[in-house]
Amino acid sequence: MKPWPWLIALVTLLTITRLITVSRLNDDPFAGDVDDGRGLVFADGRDTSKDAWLDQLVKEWNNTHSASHEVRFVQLPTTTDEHRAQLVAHAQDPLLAEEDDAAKRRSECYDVVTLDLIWTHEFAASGYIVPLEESKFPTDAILDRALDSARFDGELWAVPMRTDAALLYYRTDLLRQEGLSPPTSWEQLRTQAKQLATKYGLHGYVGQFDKYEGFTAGVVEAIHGAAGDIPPDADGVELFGSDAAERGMRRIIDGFAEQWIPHKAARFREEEARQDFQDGKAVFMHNWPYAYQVMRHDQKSRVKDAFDVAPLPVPSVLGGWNLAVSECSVNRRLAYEFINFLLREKTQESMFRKAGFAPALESLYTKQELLDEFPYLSVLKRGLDAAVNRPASPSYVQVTRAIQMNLHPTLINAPGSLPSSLAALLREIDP
Amino acid sequence: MTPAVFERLADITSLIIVATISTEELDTRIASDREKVERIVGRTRRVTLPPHDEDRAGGHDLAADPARTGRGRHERPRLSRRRTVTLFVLAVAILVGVPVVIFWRSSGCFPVVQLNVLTTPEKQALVEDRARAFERELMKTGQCAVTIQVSTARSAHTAIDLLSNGWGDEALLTAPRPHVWLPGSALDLEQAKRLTEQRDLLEFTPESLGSIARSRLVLAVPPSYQEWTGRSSFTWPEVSNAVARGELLLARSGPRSSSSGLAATMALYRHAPGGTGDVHHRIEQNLESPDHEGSYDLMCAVRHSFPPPAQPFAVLTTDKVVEDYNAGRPLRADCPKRTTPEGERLHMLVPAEQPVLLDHPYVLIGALTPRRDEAARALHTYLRSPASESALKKHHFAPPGKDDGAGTPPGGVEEVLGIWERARKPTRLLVALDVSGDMRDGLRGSPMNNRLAAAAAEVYTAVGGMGPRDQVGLWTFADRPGDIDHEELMEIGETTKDETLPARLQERLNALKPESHPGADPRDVVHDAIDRLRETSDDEGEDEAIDAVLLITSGDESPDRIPADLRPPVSTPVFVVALGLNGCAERTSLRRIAEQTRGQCYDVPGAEAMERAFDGLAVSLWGGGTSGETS
Repeated sequence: MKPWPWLIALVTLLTITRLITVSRLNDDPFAGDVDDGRGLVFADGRDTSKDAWLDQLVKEWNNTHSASHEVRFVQLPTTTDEHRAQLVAHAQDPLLAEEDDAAKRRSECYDVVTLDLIWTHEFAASGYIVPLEESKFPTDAILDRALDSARFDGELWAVPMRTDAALLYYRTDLLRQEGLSPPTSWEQLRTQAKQLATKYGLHGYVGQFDKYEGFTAGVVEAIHGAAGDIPPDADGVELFGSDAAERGMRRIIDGFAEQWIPHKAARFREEEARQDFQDGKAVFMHNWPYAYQVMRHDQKSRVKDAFDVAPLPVPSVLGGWNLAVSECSVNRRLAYEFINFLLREKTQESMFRKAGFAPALESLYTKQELLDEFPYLSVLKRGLDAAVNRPASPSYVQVTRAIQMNLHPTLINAPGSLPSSLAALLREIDP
Repeated sequence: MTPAVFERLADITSLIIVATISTEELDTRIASDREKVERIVGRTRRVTLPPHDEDRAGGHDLAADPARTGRGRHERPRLSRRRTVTLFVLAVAILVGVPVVIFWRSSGCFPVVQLNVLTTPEKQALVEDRARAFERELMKTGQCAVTIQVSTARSAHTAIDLLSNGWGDEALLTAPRPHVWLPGSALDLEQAKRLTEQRDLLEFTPESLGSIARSRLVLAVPPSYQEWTGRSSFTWPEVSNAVARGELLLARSGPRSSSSGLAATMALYRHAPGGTGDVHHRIEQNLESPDHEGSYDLMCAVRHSFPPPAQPFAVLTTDKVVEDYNAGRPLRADCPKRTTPEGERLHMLVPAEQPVLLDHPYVLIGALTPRRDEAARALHTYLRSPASESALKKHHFAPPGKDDGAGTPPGGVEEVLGIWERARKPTRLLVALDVSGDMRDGLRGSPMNNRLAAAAAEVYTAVGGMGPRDQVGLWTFADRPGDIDHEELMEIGETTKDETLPARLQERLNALKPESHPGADPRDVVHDAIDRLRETSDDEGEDEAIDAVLLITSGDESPDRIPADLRPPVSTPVFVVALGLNGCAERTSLRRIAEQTRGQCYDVPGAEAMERAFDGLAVSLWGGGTSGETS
């Protein structure tokens, strides 16, 4: 007897069995769960919020859950780069391990992790996190732009926990005295910053121009501001290969050359810029919403009652942090529950009040009580709606480092090399 | 079974039937499924590069295999019928979900390996420079991409302690768990190995691959010290003798806080006249104090204290650090880049005997996964390659020699640290704690109710780390009615030898509450505290102590106010923990106090910074950690 029919039958049977298993797994995101009593491990950056709010939130969860469902909060390094490095290395451990070592490494899994929204593609494409079942989260209540950042390849890979957009801080006293309204275009910003800087002996405009992620964000904003026709989610090649790339960068470089952006700002990050503005040394500042509450409530702030915010005169990049479930997690049901716990309106509101994190829930932006207390919330919402993305890529780290290494030197030291620097950057991100 | 399963079943069954008939259609279906995977994987390959190494699972280059990469699949010749079944089995295997993860894991270069490197503050710029160059080199030459994170620990002691404890969750607040460690010398490695063994954490045993750079100990003297500036070398006995006799004020970083500090201490002890414990003791008594946390902290203090004292003064550290100082490189946040005036540049003398070299070993930590191990070894090779030589020079390092480790003081680290613990000066620390209304505010990241409670908890922990000969006193202060702003809760003179001290200290700290009074002038408090230390010091005693004041205050500062100097000038170092706004900004009283007294001002906006400040203080004053931990 020929073996073929038997072989075909056997393979078909195995196929069907396998299919059923796979389909069941696919239909039930919790099918692989193992109730090992280990609880859940939640990894987020160092909790620097007032009164360690996040830590208290975890305690609140633990007080209402049994020991086997408790959450262990692992605090990762404070800097964003180090946060990512720890998460990636930890996620890679079981994936890269030899078979006999993988099980042990999987048992050390961080079940729920927080990701800078720009890492979502990298983590999804690398298999560090799993796609989520959308119906199990209140996605309708989440800001669309934030939710988009958590999608990749047609699936939802994470859920926004907090979102962010940069604001233009300005001196109300000076603008009022000069009869000016906050600038709505880069050209207006340039004119006003030059005029007021000269007249009052101040810095015209400060922001995040140091060689780090803040610089990448600023460059992306400037290019979008100079273009108008680049899609908000343009990739690196679209962005830096466009005609607007040189125009956008040139605007910043000219700001330094004309000195309405002070040279020392080339070393400013968020806090240095805030300090400068708060000490009354600058007319305009690019910064994130957190600075608002700090400067408003600080008794020693020189601009405590003399500043306000407006949308940036260029589109802001979208910032924020997403919650994702690790591929190694065998506690996915609990992970889903914990994520939903962090998404409750009550939690999101307290996160905004205590830590200044912009909420991911749309409803909070129209809550009158919050608007009365934090009038800048509506400006922030406008900024979020018009926000653009940094060039998402599974290799974002390489992309952003290439941007910083090629373009930062053009700010002051080598402005003439901008065309060749842009060409070099393009070669690196699109070899 | 759900309808979706039936649909999939029908779909696949029909495909199986078709596959047995038409290999062409099957090819198309396979390609479609592969494309789905590659749609994701391929995006990464666009920026990373094709693999260079053999696939571990299959033993051949999978990336070069068109069936894996998809390259050339449209050119594939039609298969013969004889291979139909083989293809069928392959197709089914793919279709029914040989998981994507397996595909990824076996594709050689995916995911991009993350390599975390821990180094010293002195090597950070060099390693960052080389890491970025290595990443680019891999991309240029078409090898598997690697992403490298470079982090630093505040001191050698911190790195050694955390590494030999397996870099647990708490250590993550310092840096990501390192795969590669680049300590200052094999001396640090020796300590880490011993502690790892003691703690029975053999899986974290460090393995050295050899040196990546060299620096050497030098004696650096200011230009005003003309007796030495005309020379190019010194001998260890003459320096040890001069220090022991009190004829030379010598500064070095702490032996537990940096390799250079440890190497310097070992050399001084070894060449001490007579080599007895008494001489070691005299050397420690006459060294400039307190010990500095790291080499850059030491040079930062030198920069702040120019012109140097009239007494002959020298610094014992590495040529790399002195060259950084002379070149005006940034040393610390409060010592930014600048042009060092000619009159402040230090003259270097090298030992006339065999040089003392720091070998900067490249150390793998624990059991790495195979691909990470490969990446780590490739980075080591790159750091030792000719391509890195100019970078070493630019960062004031010498290339590693063939005889790695030659000239480094031989073993005996434990013994030397033990001698140092016994010989070093005890500390007399007067803690002055602000209890004004400002201390009611919370501290970011601290679960304690207010700044006062958070500071009190840190003081309690810090005192627990002091040695048995160290003394502590506790004051509180605020702008209280009357002439005296401070209250003495614990008189200076208490030592941790007294077993009741911790309980009494805790009781007093727990009872503290923020008062309604405003903050007092910190200069008045500092003057009173220094006077108190002077009154109670025992200058005639054998154990001359390091007196220091720890000022913890919430007072906000205005950076534009030029504060008056402390009068009269004082030599007792004042360490300031500034919880208020702008506390340590330039031109503030607190910063000025710290600079004038050669102490340090720590800006503490949150709980993490508070921990770092107390770590730094502990290293400076009593070597860090708990006494005797590494002895």
